[in-house]
Amino acid sequence: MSYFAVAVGGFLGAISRFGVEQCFAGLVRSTGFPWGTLIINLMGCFVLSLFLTVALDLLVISPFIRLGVATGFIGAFTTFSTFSLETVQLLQKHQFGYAGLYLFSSIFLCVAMSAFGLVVARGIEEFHANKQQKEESVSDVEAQKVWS
Amino acid sequence: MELIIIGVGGIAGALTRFGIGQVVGSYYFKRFPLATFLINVTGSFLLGFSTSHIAGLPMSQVIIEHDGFQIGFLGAYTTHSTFAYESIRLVEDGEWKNFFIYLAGSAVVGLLSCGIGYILGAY
Repeated sequence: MSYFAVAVGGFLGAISRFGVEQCFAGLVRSTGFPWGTLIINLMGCFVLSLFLTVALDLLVISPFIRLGVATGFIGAFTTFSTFSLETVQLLQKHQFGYAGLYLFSSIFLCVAMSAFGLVVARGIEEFHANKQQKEESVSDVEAQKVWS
Repeated sequence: MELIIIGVGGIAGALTRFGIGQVVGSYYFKRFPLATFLINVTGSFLLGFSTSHIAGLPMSQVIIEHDGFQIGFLGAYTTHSTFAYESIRLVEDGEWKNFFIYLAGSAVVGLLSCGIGYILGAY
């Protein structure tokens, strides 16, 4: 069952990555910078850490869905090999500035996006906890009214 | 048709990554995310190799290798999101040394293996 979830996620993730790459193909051609892969990886890093944190701590979610979304879909959506190849190709074309910029943003910005996803997830959790506390105190007051 | 080939490659890639994670990850994750590191390095090598291997051949002949293997399989096999997520988990656990080793190691060894594959694939 977990293999099935990963397979379905992998299928959809790979196709989605191809689709997004196609959307940015024109921009990549005109600028010579691999925007498509960078944007895919930045989005994926943010969503994965947001999803995993919320899914582990807050949502009651089937482990199969978690595997399908996280390991299958987002794992297949983002890619490391294309990033490596594009950096090597930029170096080969002697575009050292672009290669450095791409390397830096793929590594550090992606980690930053991942940290940002974690912060947002913690924010959601806090909001949720506060709301629950308020609801509980409101229902306490109401209960007292009924009893008195 | 192109989408089906990419999708099937994606299934194989995601399952291979999951399988390797099951075998390697359960032993080594606490100290260092070895599974993702190995996956990204080997995937980078194979993509470099395959790219120079099919360079110059007409697209009609290499459609399976380009769409199925490169975009589908290797794209789904390697992953950036897990890499970034594991990095911040290392920071959260206070494993700063492993964090820097993982970051610099993935970037340097990944690029090197891709470059080596690229050179080897030409022969």
